[in-house]
Amino acid sequence: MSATIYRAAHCHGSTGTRWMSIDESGDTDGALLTAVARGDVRCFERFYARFERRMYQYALNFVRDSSSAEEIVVDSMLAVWNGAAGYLQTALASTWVLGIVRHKALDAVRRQQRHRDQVPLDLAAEVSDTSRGPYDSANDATLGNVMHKAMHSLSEDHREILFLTFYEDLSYAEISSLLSIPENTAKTRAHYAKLKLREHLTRLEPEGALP
Amino acid sequence: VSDQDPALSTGHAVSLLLPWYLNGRLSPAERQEVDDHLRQCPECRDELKSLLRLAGEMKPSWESQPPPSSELRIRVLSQISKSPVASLADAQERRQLGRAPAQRRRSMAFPALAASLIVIQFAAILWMMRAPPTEVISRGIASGGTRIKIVFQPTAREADIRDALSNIHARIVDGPDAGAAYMLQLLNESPADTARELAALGRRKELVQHIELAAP
Repeated sequence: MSATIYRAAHCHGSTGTRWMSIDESGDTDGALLTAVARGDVRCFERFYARFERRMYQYALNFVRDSSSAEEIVVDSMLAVWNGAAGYLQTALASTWVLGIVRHKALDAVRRQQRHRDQVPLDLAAEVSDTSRGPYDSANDATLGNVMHKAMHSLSEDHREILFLTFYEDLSYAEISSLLSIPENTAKTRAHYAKLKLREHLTRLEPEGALP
Repeated sequence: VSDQDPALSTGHAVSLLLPWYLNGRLSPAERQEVDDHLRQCPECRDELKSLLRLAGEMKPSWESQPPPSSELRIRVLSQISKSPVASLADAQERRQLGRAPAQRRRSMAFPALAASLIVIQFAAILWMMRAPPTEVISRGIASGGTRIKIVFQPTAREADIRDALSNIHARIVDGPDAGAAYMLQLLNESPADTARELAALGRRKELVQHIELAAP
Protein backbone atom coordinates (compact mmCIF):
# COMPACT_ATOMS: atom_id res chain seq x y z
CA MET A 1 0.00 0.00 0.00
CA SER A 2 1.49 3.30 -0.97
CA ALA A 3 1.00 6.14 1.45
CA THR A 4 1.60 8.60 -1.36
CA ILE A 5 -1.70 7.88 -2.99
CA TYR A 6 -3.58 8.90 0.13
CA ARG A 7 -2.18 12.38 0.22
CA ALA A 8 -4.55 15.24 0.91
CA ALA A 9 -6.86 15.84 -1.99
CA HIS A 10 -6.66 19.02 -3.98
CA CYS A 11 -9.17 18.65 -6.73
CA HIS A 12 -9.60 22.36 -7.31
CA GLY A 13 -8.12 23.92 -10.39
CA SER A 14 -10.81 23.90 -13.03
CA THR A 15 -13.81 26.12 -13.34
CA GLY A 16 -16.25 26.63 -16.12
CA THR A 17 -19.80 27.34 -17.07
CA ARG A 18 -20.61 24.17 -18.97
CA TRP A 19 -23.22 21.65 -17.91
CA MET A 20 -21.56 19.85 -15.05
CA SER A 21 -22.11 18.56 -11.58
CA ILE A 22 -20.54 20.28 -8.63
CA ASP A 23 -20.79 18.97 -5.08
CA GLU A 24 -20.35 20.83 -1.80
CA SER A 25 -16.59 20.91 -2.39
CA GLY A 26 -17.10 23.13 -5.43
CA ASP A 27 -15.09 20.84 -7.67
CA THR A 28 -16.33 20.28 -11.18
CA ASP A 29 -16.32 16.86 -12.81
CA GLY A 30 -13.42 18.02 -14.94
CA ALA A 31 -11.42 19.11 -11.90
CA LEU A 32 -11.98 15.72 -10.30
CA LEU A 33 -10.82 13.94 -13.45
CA THR A 34 -7.71 16.08 -13.56
CA ALA A 35 -6.94 15.09 -9.97
CA VAL A 36 -7.69 11.43 -10.75
CA ALA A 37 -5.18 11.63 -13.58
CA ARG A 38 -2.58 12.52 -10.94
CA GLY A 39 -3.48 9.30 -9.08
CA ASP A 40 -5.51 11.01 -6.36
CA VAL A 41 -7.60 8.28 -4.72
CA ARG A 42 -9.75 10.62 -2.64
CA CYS A 43 -10.81 12.55 -5.71
CA PHE A 44 -11.49 9.27 -7.46
CA GLU A 45 -13.81 8.28 -4.60
CA ARG A 46 -15.69 11.53 -4.99
CA PHE A 47 -15.86 11.00 -8.72
CA TYR A 48 -17.16 7.49 -8.01
CA ALA A 49 -19.89 8.81 -5.72
CA ARG A 50 -21.06 11.19 -8.43
CA PHE A 51 -21.04 8.76 -11.30
CA GLU A 52 -21.75 5.28 -9.94
CA ARG A 53 -25.51 5.48 -10.28
CA ARG A 54 -25.36 7.32 -13.60
CA MET A 55 -22.99 4.77 -15.11
CA TYR A 56 -25.11 1.91 -13.80
CA GLN A 57 -28.32 3.41 -15.15
CA TYR A 58 -26.75 4.00 -18.54
CA ALA A 59 -25.37 0.46 -18.65
CA LEU A 60 -28.88 -0.89 -18.05
CA ASN A 61 -29.88 0.56 -21.41
CA PHE A 62 -27.65 -2.06 -23.01
CA VAL A 63 -27.80 -5.10 -20.75
CA ARG A 64 -30.81 -6.40 -18.91
CA ASP A 65 -29.33 -7.89 -15.76
CA SER A 66 -27.90 -5.94 -12.86
CA SER A 67 -24.76 -8.08 -12.56
CA SER A 68 -23.76 -7.34 -16.15
CA ALA A 69 -24.46 -3.65 -15.58
CA GLU A 70 -22.24 -3.73 -12.49
CA GLU A 71 -19.45 -5.39 -14.48
CA ILE A 72 -19.69 -2.56 -16.98
CA VAL A 73 -19.42 -0.04 -14.15
CA VAL A 74 -16.32 -1.78 -12.78
CA ASP A 75 -14.68 -1.85 -16.22
CA SER A 76 -15.62 1.76 -16.84
CA MET A 77 -14.39 3.00 -13.47
CA LEU A 78 -11.06 1.25 -14.00
CA ALA A 79 -10.85 2.79 -17.46
CA VAL A 80 -11.43 6.21 -15.91
CA TRP A 81 -8.75 5.56 -13.27
CA ASN A 82 -6.22 4.44 -15.84
CA GLY A 83 -7.24 6.83 -18.59
CA ALA A 84 -8.20 10.05 -16.84
CA ALA A 85 -5.08 11.64 -18.24
CA GLY A 86 -6.65 11.23 -21.66
CA TYR A 87 -9.55 13.45 -20.71
CA LEU A 88 -9.30 16.78 -22.49
CA GLN A 89 -10.76 19.80 -20.73
CA THR A 90 -12.33 20.90 -23.99
CA ALA A 91 -14.87 18.08 -23.71
CA LEU A 92 -17.68 17.81 -21.21
CA ALA A 93 -16.55 15.41 -18.50
CA SER A 94 -19.88 13.60 -18.22
CA THR A 95 -19.98 13.02 -21.98
CA TRP A 96 -16.45 11.63 -21.85
CA VAL A 97 -17.39 9.31 -19.00
CA LEU A 98 -20.63 8.17 -20.64
CA GLY A 99 -18.64 7.46 -23.80
CA ILE A 100 -16.47 5.06 -21.81
CA VAL A 101 -19.52 3.33 -20.36
CA ARG A 102 -21.06 3.04 -23.80
CA HIS A 103 -17.89 1.51 -25.21
CA LYS A 104 -17.67 -1.01 -22.36
CA ALA A 105 -21.37 -1.79 -22.61
CA LEU A 106 -21.20 -2.47 -26.33
CA ASP A 107 -18.22 -4.77 -25.67
CA ALA A 108 -20.27 -6.60 -23.05
CA VAL A 109 -23.22 -6.95 -25.42
CA ARG A 110 -20.94 -8.39 -28.10
CA ARG A 111 -19.48 -10.87 -25.60
CA GLN A 112 -22.94 -11.92 -24.48
CA GLN A 113 -24.02 -12.29 -28.09
CA ARG A 114 -21.02 -14.51 -28.84
CA HIS A 115 -21.80 -16.57 -25.74
CA ARG A 116 -25.42 -17.03 -26.79
CA ASP A 117 -24.33 -18.01 -30.29
CA GLN A 118 -22.11 -20.71 -28.82
CA VAL A 119 -24.73 -22.23 -26.52
CA PRO A 120 -26.03 -25.60 -27.74
CA LEU A 121 -29.64 -25.54 -28.84
CA ASP A 122 -30.81 -27.79 -26.01
CA LEU A 123 -29.55 -25.21 -23.49
CA ALA A 124 -30.84 -22.16 -25.33
CA ALA A 125 -34.10 -22.03 -23.39
CA GLU A 126 -32.21 -21.99 -20.09
CA VAL A 127 -29.97 -19.18 -21.28
CA SER A 128 -32.89 -17.05 -22.33
CA ASP A 129 -34.41 -17.49 -18.87
CA THR A 130 -31.43 -15.73 -17.31
CA SER A 131 -32.11 -12.50 -19.12
CA ARG A 132 -34.52 -11.17 -16.54
CA GLY A 133 -33.31 -7.96 -15.03
CA PRO A 134 -34.24 -4.82 -13.15
CA TYR A 135 -36.92 -3.88 -15.62
CA ASP A 136 -38.60 -7.23 -15.09
CA SER A 137 -38.23 -7.03 -11.33
CA ALA A 138 -39.76 -3.61 -11.38
CA ASN A 139 -42.62 -4.95 -13.46
CA ASP A 140 -43.20 -7.76 -11.04
CA ALA A 141 -43.21 -5.33 -8.15
CA THR A 142 -45.40 -2.70 -9.75
CA LEU A 143 -47.61 -4.32 -12.28
CA GLY A 144 -49.57 -1.12 -12.70
CA ASN A 145 -46.55 0.77 -13.87
CA VAL A 146 -46.81 0.48 -17.60
CA MET A 147 -43.98 2.95 -18.16
CA HIS A 148 -41.40 0.30 -17.21
CA LYS A 149 -42.87 -2.11 -19.71
CA ALA A 150 -43.19 0.52 -22.39
CA MET A 151 -39.57 1.64 -21.93
CA HIS A 152 -38.40 -1.93 -22.08
CA SER A 153 -40.34 -2.47 -25.29
CA LEU A 154 -38.35 0.25 -27.02
CA SER A 155 -35.35 -0.51 -29.19
CA GLU A 156 -31.95 0.01 -27.58
CA ASP A 157 -31.37 3.14 -29.70
CA HIS A 158 -34.67 4.69 -28.69
CA ARG A 159 -34.31 3.82 -25.02
CA GLU A 160 -30.80 5.24 -25.02
CA ILE A 161 -31.64 8.59 -26.61
CA LEU A 162 -34.56 9.14 -24.25
CA PHE A 163 -32.26 8.34 -21.34
CA LEU A 164 -29.58 10.73 -22.53
CA THR A 165 -32.10 13.49 -23.16
CA PHE A 166 -34.42 13.22 -20.19
CA TYR A 167 -32.26 11.55 -17.52
CA GLU A 168 -28.78 12.85 -18.35
CA ASP A 169 -30.12 16.15 -19.74
CA LEU A 170 -27.54 16.17 -22.52
CA SER A 171 -27.88 18.61 -25.41
CA TYR A 172 -28.48 17.22 -28.88
CA ALA A 173 -24.94 18.28 -29.81
CA GLU A 174 -23.51 16.26 -26.91
CA ILE A 175 -25.66 13.28 -27.85
CA SER A 176 -24.52 13.61 -31.44
CA SER A 177 -20.90 13.54 -30.29
CA LEU A 178 -21.42 10.66 -27.85
CA LEU A 179 -23.24 8.45 -30.34
CA SER A 180 -21.20 9.59 -33.35
CA ILE A 181 -24.31 10.53 -35.29
CA PRO A 182 -25.26 13.79 -37.04
CA GLU A 183 -27.16 16.30 -34.92
CA ASN A 184 -30.25 16.02 -37.13
CA THR A 185 -30.23 12.25 -36.62
CA ALA A 186 -30.18 12.81 -32.87
CA LYS A 187 -33.22 15.09 -33.17
CA THR A 188 -35.24 12.75 -35.36
CA ARG A 189 -34.23 9.71 -33.32
CA ALA A 190 -35.53 11.37 -30.17
CA HIS A 191 -38.71 12.27 -32.02
CA TYR A 192 -39.35 8.70 -33.18
CA ALA A 193 -38.40 7.31 -29.78
CA LYS A 194 -41.06 9.52 -28.25
CA LEU A 195 -43.67 8.34 -30.79
CA LYS A 196 -42.77 4.68 -30.18
CA LEU A 197 -42.99 5.15 -26.45
CA ARG A 198 -46.47 6.61 -26.78
CA GLU A 199 -47.40 3.73 -29.06
CA HIS A 200 -46.29 1.17 -26.47
CA LEU A 201 -48.04 3.05 -23.68
CA THR A 202 -51.26 3.07 -25.68
CA ARG A 203 -50.95 -0.63 -26.37
CA LEU A 204 -50.25 -1.48 -22.76
CA GLU A 205 -52.88 0.76 -21.26
CA PRO A 206 -55.36 1.65 -24.01
CA GLU A 207 -58.02 3.06 -21.76
CA GLY A 208 -55.67 5.18 -19.63
CA ALA A 209 -55.04 8.87 -19.96
CA LEU A 210 -51.66 8.80 -21.62
CA PRO A 211 -49.27 11.61 -22.40
CA VAL B 1 -43.76 13.32 -43.74
CA SER B 2 -47.28 12.46 -42.79
CA ASP B 3 -50.35 14.04 -41.22
CA GLN B 4 -49.59 12.01 -38.08
CA ASP B 5 -46.13 13.43 -37.84
CA PRO B 6 -46.35 17.22 -37.69
CA ALA B 7 -42.87 17.57 -36.27
CA LEU B 8 -41.35 16.59 -39.59
CA SER B 9 -43.64 18.69 -41.76
CA THR B 10 -42.82 22.11 -43.09
CA GLY B 11 -43.36 24.81 -40.53
CA HIS B 12 -43.14 22.47 -37.52
CA ALA B 13 -39.54 21.37 -37.78
CA VAL B 14 -38.71 23.50 -34.77
CA SER B 15 -40.75 21.11 -32.64
CA LEU B 16 -37.92 18.60 -33.04
CA LEU B 17 -36.16 20.80 -30.51
CA LEU B 18 -38.89 20.38 -27.89
CA PRO B 19 -37.06 17.64 -25.91
CA TRP B 20 -34.15 20.01 -25.39
CA TYR B 21 -36.47 22.95 -24.83
CA LEU B 22 -37.75 20.91 -21.89
CA ASN B 23 -34.36 19.85 -20.52
CA GLY B 24 -33.01 23.39 -20.82
CA ARG B 25 -30.17 22.57 -23.18
CA LEU B 26 -30.98 24.85 -26.12
CA SER B 27 -28.99 27.93 -26.97
CA PRO B 28 -30.74 31.24 -26.25
CA ALA B 29 -31.32 31.74 -29.99
CA GLU B 30 -32.87 28.30 -30.40
CA ARG B 31 -34.99 28.80 -27.33
CA GLN B 32 -36.26 32.08 -28.72
CA GLU B 33 -37.05 30.34 -31.99
CA VAL B 34 -39.10 27.70 -30.20
CA ASP B 35 -40.87 30.33 -28.09
CA ASP B 36 -41.81 32.28 -31.21
CA HIS B 37 -43.16 29.15 -32.87
CA LEU B 38 -45.12 28.02 -29.82
CA ARG B 39 -46.87 31.39 -29.61
CA GLN B 40 -48.52 30.87 -32.97
CA CYS B 41 -48.83 27.05 -33.14
CA PRO B 42 -51.45 25.34 -30.96
CA GLU B 43 -50.40 21.89 -32.25
CA CYS B 44 -46.87 22.31 -30.98
CA ARG B 45 -48.14 23.73 -27.69
CA ASP B 46 -50.19 20.56 -27.24
CA GLU B 47 -47.15 18.51 -28.19
CA LEU B 48 -45.08 20.33 -25.59
CA LYS B 49 -47.67 19.63 -22.87
CA SER B 50 -47.80 15.99 -23.88
CA LEU B 51 -44.01 15.69 -23.90
CA LEU B 52 -43.81 17.36 -20.51
CA ARG B 53 -46.12 14.70 -19.05
CA LEU B 54 -44.18 11.93 -20.79
CA ALA B 55 -40.86 13.19 -19.43
CA GLY B 56 -42.41 13.49 -15.99
CA GLU B 57 -43.31 9.80 -16.09
CA MET B 58 -40.02 8.61 -17.54
CA LYS B 59 -37.78 10.05 -14.84
CA PRO B 60 -39.39 8.16 -11.94
CA SER B 61 -39.22 5.04 -14.07
CA TRP B 62 -35.41 5.30 -14.17
CA GLU B 63 -35.01 6.54 -10.64
CA SER B 64 -37.13 3.77 -9.14
CA GLN B 65 -34.90 1.04 -10.49
CA PRO B 66 -32.94 -0.82 -7.81
CA PRO B 67 -29.51 0.76 -7.21
CA PRO B 68 -26.31 -1.19 -7.74
CA SER B 69 -25.21 -3.42 -4.89
CA SER B 70 -23.30 -1.92 -1.99
CA GLU B 71 -20.35 -4.21 -2.77
CA LEU B 72 -19.79 -2.52 -6.12
CA ARG B 73 -17.92 0.42 -4.60
CA ILE B 74 -15.69 -1.89 -2.59
CA ARG B 75 -14.92 -3.95 -5.70
CA VAL B 76 -13.92 -0.90 -7.69
CA LEU B 77 -11.86 0.71 -4.94
CA SER B 78 -10.16 -2.59 -4.21
CA GLN B 79 -9.06 -2.90 -7.81
CA ILE B 80 -7.99 0.73 -7.90
CA SER B 81 -5.84 0.23 -4.83
CA LYS B 82 -4.01 -2.59 -6.57
CA SER B 83 -2.83 -0.34 -9.38
CA PRO B 84 -2.10 3.07 -7.89
CA VAL B 85 1.57 3.05 -8.75
CA ALA B 86 1.00 2.85 -12.47
CA SER B 87 -0.96 6.07 -12.40
CA LEU B 88 1.61 7.83 -10.32
CA ALA B 89 4.46 6.59 -12.43
CA ASP B 90 2.68 7.67 -15.58
CA ALA B 91 1.90 11.07 -14.15
CA GLN B 92 5.51 11.53 -13.11
CA GLU B 93 6.69 10.43 -16.51
CA ARG B 94 4.34 12.86 -18.21
CA ARG B 95 5.64 15.70 -16.08
CA GLN B 96 9.24 14.78 -16.78
CA LEU B 97 8.82 14.38 -20.50
CA GLY B 98 6.29 17.16 -20.99
CA ARG B 99 3.96 14.94 -22.96
CA ALA B 100 0.36 15.80 -23.68
CA PRO B 101 -2.01 13.85 -21.37
CA ALA B 102 -3.40 11.73 -24.18
CA GLN B 103 0.07 10.50 -25.04
CA ARG B 104 0.69 8.62 -21.80
CA ARG B 105 2.48 5.31 -21.86
CA ARG B 106 4.12 3.07 -19.33
CA SER B 107 7.39 4.15 -17.82
CA MET B 108 10.35 1.85 -18.02
CA ALA B 109 10.93 2.65 -14.35
CA PHE B 110 7.55 1.28 -13.36
CA PRO B 111 8.44 -2.44 -13.12
CA ALA B 112 11.32 -1.71 -10.77
CA LEU B 113 9.18 0.58 -8.62
CA ALA B 114 6.36 -1.95 -8.53
CA ALA B 115 8.75 -4.73 -7.55
CA SER B 116 10.13 -2.59 -4.74
CA LEU B 117 6.66 -1.94 -3.43
CA ILE B 118 5.77 -5.62 -3.54
CA VAL B 119 8.84 -6.40 -1.44
CA ILE B 120 7.91 -3.67 1.03
CA GLN B 121 4.31 -4.90 1.22
CA PHE B 122 5.45 -8.48 1.76
CA ALA B 123 7.77 -7.41 4.54
CA ALA B 124 4.98 -5.44 6.16
CA ILE B 125 2.65 -8.42 6.06
CA LEU B 126 5.23 -10.71 7.59
CA TRP B 127 5.84 -8.16 10.30
CA MET B 128 2.10 -7.82 10.87
CA MET B 129 1.62 -11.58 11.21
CA ARG B 130 4.41 -12.24 13.68
CA ALA B 131 3.68 -13.59 17.16
CA PRO B 132 2.21 -10.99 19.53
CA PRO B 133 4.54 -9.51 22.14
CA THR B 134 3.31 -8.92 25.64
CA GLU B 135 2.59 -5.25 25.23
CA VAL B 136 1.72 -2.73 22.58
CA ILE B 137 4.67 -1.29 20.73
CA SER B 138 4.43 2.19 19.31
CA ARG B 139 5.75 2.43 15.79
CA GLY B 140 6.14 6.13 15.73
CA ILE B 141 3.69 6.77 12.92
CA ALA B 142 2.06 10.16 12.99
CA SER B 143 -1.38 10.23 14.58
CA GLY B 144 -4.56 11.53 12.97
CA GLY B 145 -7.65 10.09 11.30
CA THR B 146 -10.08 7.54 12.68
CA ARG B 147 -8.50 4.69 14.65
CA ILE B 148 -9.94 1.27 15.12
CA LYS B 149 -8.85 -1.67 17.21
CA ILE B 150 -9.08 -5.00 15.48
CA VAL B 151 -8.33 -8.63 16.26
CA PHE B 152 -8.02 -10.90 13.27
CA GLN B 153 -9.02 -14.53 13.34
CA PRO B 154 -5.99 -16.77 13.97
CA THR B 155 -6.94 -18.64 10.82
CA ALA B 156 -7.13 -15.51 8.65
CA ARG B 157 -4.94 -15.63 5.58
CA GLU B 158 -2.33 -12.98 4.89
CA ALA B 159 -3.75 -12.18 1.51
CA ASP B 160 -7.23 -11.65 2.95
CA ILE B 161 -5.92 -9.33 5.64
CA ARG B 162 -3.97 -7.39 3.06
CA ASP B 163 -7.05 -7.02 0.87
CA ALA B 164 -9.21 -6.03 3.80
CA LEU B 165 -6.83 -3.30 4.89
CA SER B 166 -6.54 -2.09 1.35
CA ASN B 167 -10.32 -2.00 0.93
CA ILE B 168 -10.86 0.23 3.93
CA HIS B 169 -7.81 2.38 3.20
CA ALA B 170 -6.24 1.57 6.53
CA ARG B 171 -2.75 1.11 7.83
CA ILE B 172 -1.46 -0.47 11.01
CA VAL B 173 -0.08 2.08 13.45
CA ASP B 174 0.25 -0.05 16.60
CA GLY B 175 0.12 -3.59 17.91
CA PRO B 176 -0.25 -6.37 18.31
CA ASP B 177 -0.94 -5.98 22.03
CA ALA B 178 -1.27 -8.79 24.56
CA GLY B 179 -4.68 -9.62 23.16
CA ALA B 180 -3.32 -9.80 19.60
CA ALA B 181 -5.15 -6.55 18.78
CA TYR B 182 -3.82 -4.16 16.17
CA MET B 183 -4.49 -0.46 15.99
CA LEU B 184 -5.47 0.71 12.51
CA GLN B 185 -5.62 4.22 11.21
CA LEU B 186 -8.32 4.86 8.61
CA LEU B 187 -7.34 7.29 5.96
CA ASN B 188 -10.85 7.90 4.74
CA GLU B 189 -12.08 11.16 6.23
CA SER B 190 -15.75 10.71 5.40
CA PRO B 191 -17.66 9.55 8.52
CA ALA B 192 -20.31 7.87 6.37
CA ASP B 193 -17.72 5.97 4.36
CA THR B 194 -15.84 5.04 7.51
CA ALA B 195 -18.97 3.66 9.18
CA ARG B 196 -19.88 1.69 6.07
CA GLU B 197 -16.41 0.25 5.70
CA LEU B 198 -16.24 -0.73 9.36
CA ALA B 199 -19.61 -2.42 9.16
CA ALA B 200 -18.55 -4.32 6.06
CA LEU B 201 -15.33 -5.44 7.71
CA GLY B 202 -17.14 -6.45 10.89
CA ARG B 203 -19.37 -8.77 8.91
CA ARG B 204 -16.37 -10.75 7.70
CA LYS B 205 -16.43 -13.25 10.57
CA GLU B 206 -13.97 -15.52 8.82
CA LEU B 207 -11.42 -12.71 9.01
CA VAL B 208 -12.26 -10.53 11.99
CA GLN B 209 -12.65 -11.71 15.54
CA HIS B 210 -13.27 -8.32 17.10
CA ILE B 211 -13.44 -4.75 15.87
CA GLU B 212 -14.18 -1.49 17.65
CA LEU B 213 -13.64 2.21 17.30
CA ALA B 214 -10.69 3.32 19.38
CA ALA B 215 -10.75 6.42 21.51
CA PRO B 216 -9.27 9.37 19.61
